[in-house]
Amino acid sequence: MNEFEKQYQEILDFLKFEDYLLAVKRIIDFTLDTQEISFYTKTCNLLDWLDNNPNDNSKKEKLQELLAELHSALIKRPQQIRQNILEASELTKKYSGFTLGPVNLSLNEGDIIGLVGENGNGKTTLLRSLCGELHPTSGHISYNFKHEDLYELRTKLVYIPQRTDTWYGSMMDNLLFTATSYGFSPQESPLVVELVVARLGLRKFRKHKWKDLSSGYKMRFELARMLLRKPKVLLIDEPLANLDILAQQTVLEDFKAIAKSAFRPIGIILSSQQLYEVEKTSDEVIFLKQGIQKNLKENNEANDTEKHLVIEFESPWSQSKLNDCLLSTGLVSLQFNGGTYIATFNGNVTINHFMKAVIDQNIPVVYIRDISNSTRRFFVS
Amino acid sequence: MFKKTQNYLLLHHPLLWNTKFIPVIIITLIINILFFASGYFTGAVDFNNPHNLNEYRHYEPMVIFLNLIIGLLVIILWLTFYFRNNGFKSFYPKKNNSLYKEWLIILTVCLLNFSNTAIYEYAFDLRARNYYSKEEVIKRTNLLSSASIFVDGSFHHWNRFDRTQYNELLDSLENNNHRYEYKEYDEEVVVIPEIEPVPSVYDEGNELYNPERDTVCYFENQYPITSLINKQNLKFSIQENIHDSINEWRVKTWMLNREKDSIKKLLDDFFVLVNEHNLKANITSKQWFDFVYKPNTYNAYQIVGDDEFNEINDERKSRNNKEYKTRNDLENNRLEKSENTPFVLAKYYVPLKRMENAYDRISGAYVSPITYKDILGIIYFTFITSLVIFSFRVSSVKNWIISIISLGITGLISFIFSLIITYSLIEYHSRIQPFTFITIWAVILIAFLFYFSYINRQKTSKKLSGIVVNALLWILPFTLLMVYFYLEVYYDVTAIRDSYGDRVYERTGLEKFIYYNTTEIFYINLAVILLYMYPFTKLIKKWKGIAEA
Repeated sequence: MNEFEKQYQEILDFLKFEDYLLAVKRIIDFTLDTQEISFYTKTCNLLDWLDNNPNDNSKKEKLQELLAELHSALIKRPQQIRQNILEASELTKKYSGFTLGPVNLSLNEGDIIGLVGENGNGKTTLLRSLCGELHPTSGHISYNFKHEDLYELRTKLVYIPQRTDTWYGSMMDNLLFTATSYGFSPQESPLVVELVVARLGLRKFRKHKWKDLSSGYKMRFELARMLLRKPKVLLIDEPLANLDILAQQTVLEDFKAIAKSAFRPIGIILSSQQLYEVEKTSDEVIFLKQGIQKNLKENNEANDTEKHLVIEFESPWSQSKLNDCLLSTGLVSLQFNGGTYIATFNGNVTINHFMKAVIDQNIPVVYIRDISNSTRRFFVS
Repeated sequence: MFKKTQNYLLLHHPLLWNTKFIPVIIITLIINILFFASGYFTGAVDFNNPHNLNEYRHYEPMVIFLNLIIGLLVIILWLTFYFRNNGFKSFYPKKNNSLYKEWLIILTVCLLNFSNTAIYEYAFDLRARNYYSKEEVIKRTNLLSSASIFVDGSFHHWNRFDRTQYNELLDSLENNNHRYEYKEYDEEVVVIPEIEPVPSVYDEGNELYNPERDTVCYFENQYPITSLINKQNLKFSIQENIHDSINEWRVKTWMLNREKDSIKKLLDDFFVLVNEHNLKANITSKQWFDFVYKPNTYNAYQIVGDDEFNEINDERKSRNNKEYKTRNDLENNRLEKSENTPFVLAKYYVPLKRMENAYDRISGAYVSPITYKDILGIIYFTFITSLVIFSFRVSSVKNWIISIISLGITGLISFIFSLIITYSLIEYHSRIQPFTFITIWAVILIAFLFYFSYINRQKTSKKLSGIVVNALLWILPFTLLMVYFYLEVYYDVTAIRDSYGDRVYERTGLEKFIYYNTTEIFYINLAVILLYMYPFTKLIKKWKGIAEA
């Protein structure tokens, strides 16, 4: 089953379980994939109908009908082969008192790279270097897509900083301006903007003013604008910073769907402090500590011979008591890390062994997580 | 309607929408029309104005002030909307000529907003010109000019007026045999043969009477200097250089030849004009003729005032009489009382002054209407303003402010430095100070050009080029003018001069062109700005893509 069929089946499942919100979002993605005004119009009309008839029973039927039409239109189209679009090798950027890198990374279309690390460790510097805003002190960045000059290159690299600029005037006018600037025809622009706005759950906020929007919705409007800019690479600095837990998951899911479009895939590099959320979404995670890159996969591969089980857990018991109880299970070290314990076991111990020891010795545990394959290890080590 | 238009522009012409060109141009054109209308309205000629208002553009200071205030208000208001979206700073795709178009839009908005004074003045003159055709105005001013000989006014004060010379001069004018020569600005002028002054035989012993000083010779006759035959006539700017003299000569020939009918007709024609403009005289044409037609010496005439309110000073009585006072001269004046304050009025008058004022205004509207030379300053101000706005658009606020401050400080330092250089030299020369000042800026300009091209070639990071690009946008427009200045200095320094410091040769070729065409060179410079801005804006677009740091 190819990527498109897989995504189609997912939407069918959403409809089956009446998860209309997700289904509509993905239908919009398919609609945008068609790049046909007739489909734009159909989907927009359906969105209007859904707004006016939120509880109508024929909702499912209408969505299924549109999905089928989209499926038959898209199935004939060749899917894009995902190619490498960005390659950074031995990239460094020196400031007075701080050096980023050397950083090596490779980004393919459809991939998401998560950039994690504590504040002040070079995440923003790396993103700004990759989007062409900063020139590397050494090393090289190659962009593997056509661009006439640096200005044109930067039209294709969309960087959304943590603090976005204020939008003046109507939200819709701003988005329409972006759409027409990026070559959408006068007929397409209003429809595409409507679809993108709906895609990011902003239909209710179309007539709002920038100052009346919460930080989370401001970020969504930025994402809507980004979608209209047809980027090759999307670089986002802390997109989850101002979002609640639910919104974080929604936005990350949106990123995933946008990046992995079967017909218009884009490469995304995002920085975040939300390790677990980012790890779930990303194809690769890069950890930056004082500017030095640590890749989870590479580190795991490199240390494969001495692989350990690392468990983060929370317990009211003292460190020495816990140490005594877990020693027999193959405990190598036990660190107290401000509220949680980090227990490292030798290679042949699994999480089940740890849990068995907890149960057997009646250790009270309120939180538990296997961080052996998480960059969390880099934070706590 | 407005929203629909804006929406159409947003979808079809994003640059026009982004620059808010249509709304600002509509507002600007309305203001232009209002200035035109007010110019046309206030440009009405008052044929009943007795006051001597020769500065016929007396509304000008207020108009300039209003133009500046309204123009600035419109531009500031426009900028608040225009600066809302900046696709260039956000790296939206732009065509190569997009920035150039954007600058032209800014230029157009500035040009129209700062040209209201010129529009006003054009309408002001247009209204005056619309009263009569140029030929008609010339005809009427000739009539006024001729009739003015018989109205209170000044006398000629030449030492003596020799009949022979006078006739020769006028004959030559009539036969068109006079010599022409072209003066500096190619203005056609008639060279009047210089009259050799008759040696003054001034009798120092007799101050009260001196025939050499107080008489004048016309056609071999001696006339008192206060004779009507020695009267000056009115001159209007619309009359060609020699025309007023022809009028004078013609009337005086009638007087000498005692051509009563011609003089009568002249005065009758004057009254036709008086009636046409509904003006008032307290004598008839016939009375006037009787007052002034005294063919013996034309000195026993009754003075006719040029306006009721202009008291008459009779030179015949006042010349040698220090006790003379107009209010006691009841032959020529009358007294009126208003709130117990006496004031002096002309006893007899025709409304010449009012017509003189009115036709002087109309003449001025034909002779010196607003031309491209008058609006050069406005156009330069507009160009510079548009470039300052454009630089704000393409640069960051921080760089823009740094550029203004640093250029201001450099300007001050270079000015002081050039002064020090000038006064520290042993031999003072007025050109040293501007030469030093301009040379400093020429060096700065060349250095900036090199730096900007170096940054564009390196393509690593912008470094200080954000400031340099602003400076270039503001200094480059003066490049040609710098070259012009250097050429002028060169020709000045290399000129071969005689012992009096005057050139010993005529200017030719480029030297002649730059010497006689200063305004044109300034306009050529504007064309050069329009030309080089196209590749320069393309370069700015490419430069924008370079990393910030």
